Amino acid sequence: MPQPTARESTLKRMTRTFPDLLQEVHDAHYASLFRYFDRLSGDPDLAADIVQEAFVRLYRRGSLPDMPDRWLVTVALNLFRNERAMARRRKVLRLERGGELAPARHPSPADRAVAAERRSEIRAALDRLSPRERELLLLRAEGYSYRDLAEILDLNEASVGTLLARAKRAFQATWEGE
Amino acid sequence: MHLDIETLERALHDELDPEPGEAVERHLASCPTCADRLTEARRDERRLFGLLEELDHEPPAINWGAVTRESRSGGSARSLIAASVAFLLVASGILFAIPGSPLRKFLESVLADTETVASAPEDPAVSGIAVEPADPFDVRFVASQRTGRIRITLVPSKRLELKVVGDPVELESGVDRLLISNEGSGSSYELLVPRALGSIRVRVGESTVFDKQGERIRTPRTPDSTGAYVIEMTPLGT
Repeated sequence: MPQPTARESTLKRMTRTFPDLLQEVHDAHYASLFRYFDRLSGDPDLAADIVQEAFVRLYRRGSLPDMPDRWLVTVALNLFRNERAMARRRKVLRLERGGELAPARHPSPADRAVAAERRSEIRAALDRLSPRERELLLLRAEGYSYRDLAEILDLNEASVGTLLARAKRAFQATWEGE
Repeated sequence: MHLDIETLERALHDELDPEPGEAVERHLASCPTCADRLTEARRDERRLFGLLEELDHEPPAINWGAVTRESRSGGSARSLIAASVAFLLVASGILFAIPGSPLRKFLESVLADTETVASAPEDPAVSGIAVEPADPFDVRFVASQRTGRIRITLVPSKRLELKVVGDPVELESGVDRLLISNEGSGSSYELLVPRALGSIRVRVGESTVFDKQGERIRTPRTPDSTGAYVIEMTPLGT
């Protein structure tokens, strides 16, 4: 199937309303953003609230930035780092949503117990990284380019590879108990 | 000479520029040590990312109701202030219009005192509102007028301002719009539009009198010597 040209894509984009575009951004990036902040925080409720708040900011902005995923993750990271300011809202939104989130895998109770133990070990290894190493490693796991990583985390793009290798080595060393 | 860590990592993630990329490929083809390092790095990363997947939960559905409600709440405080100011202006106007009202007597006494000192003509009353507009943004005057005009100027500021010269009118601002309830008014208006605003439309009644889309501006008037677009508030907007 032939891909639309840049002009066709632009024209198509111009004829859509902002809510349409917002829905498309959601469909393309929401799951990845949630996964990133879930892994980063170890708290799926907090992750859901932060990502939702980032979409609130985008909605309030009234127009799409050039790179919506980069914009959203930057806004959400700022929110995450300022977690204390979110504490009150988190309580409210959790009440609205109701219920706890179920893990994505391991449906049987026995599997869930084993998985919970293993998850806590992985979590512990991840928590031993510096905040910057953790943010970098998890963003790369979501497929962000080196340029995106440098922009989002305010890094020198020329050293992103080295920082990534260091973060992976630190994680691996902790995980393997070295 | 083996590949340094940065280069090896970039090779792993396909982040090398084309020219060094070809040189790296040639090196990898002729250096089993570096080729093994790359294979090992790829395997370790796959394993590591696999571990991360075990942490994942199903993403909950986004609460669009909360998103839209929250996104509007930021503007509701501004709307409330604008509505309060408009209410005070309208209430003051009504109080002033009532024959024998204390406000009217007070103002007349003040004006009488002033007239003995100053003979210059009075300035018409000025009221208004300033908002941080969303993009796109709509300015809508509910009705055309028999008199009055609107003067639109593009400014470097980020705020959109509307000044009402003459009778106060009710103003209602939202995230993406400003509504002016000007039925029966003869006021004139000064509208300052942020130049950086991508899309803004100004309507009088059902007629669009100013439409800015990016750098393109459609309006029945050419700008005057100060760069402002002056448009009559009459039904045709001409």
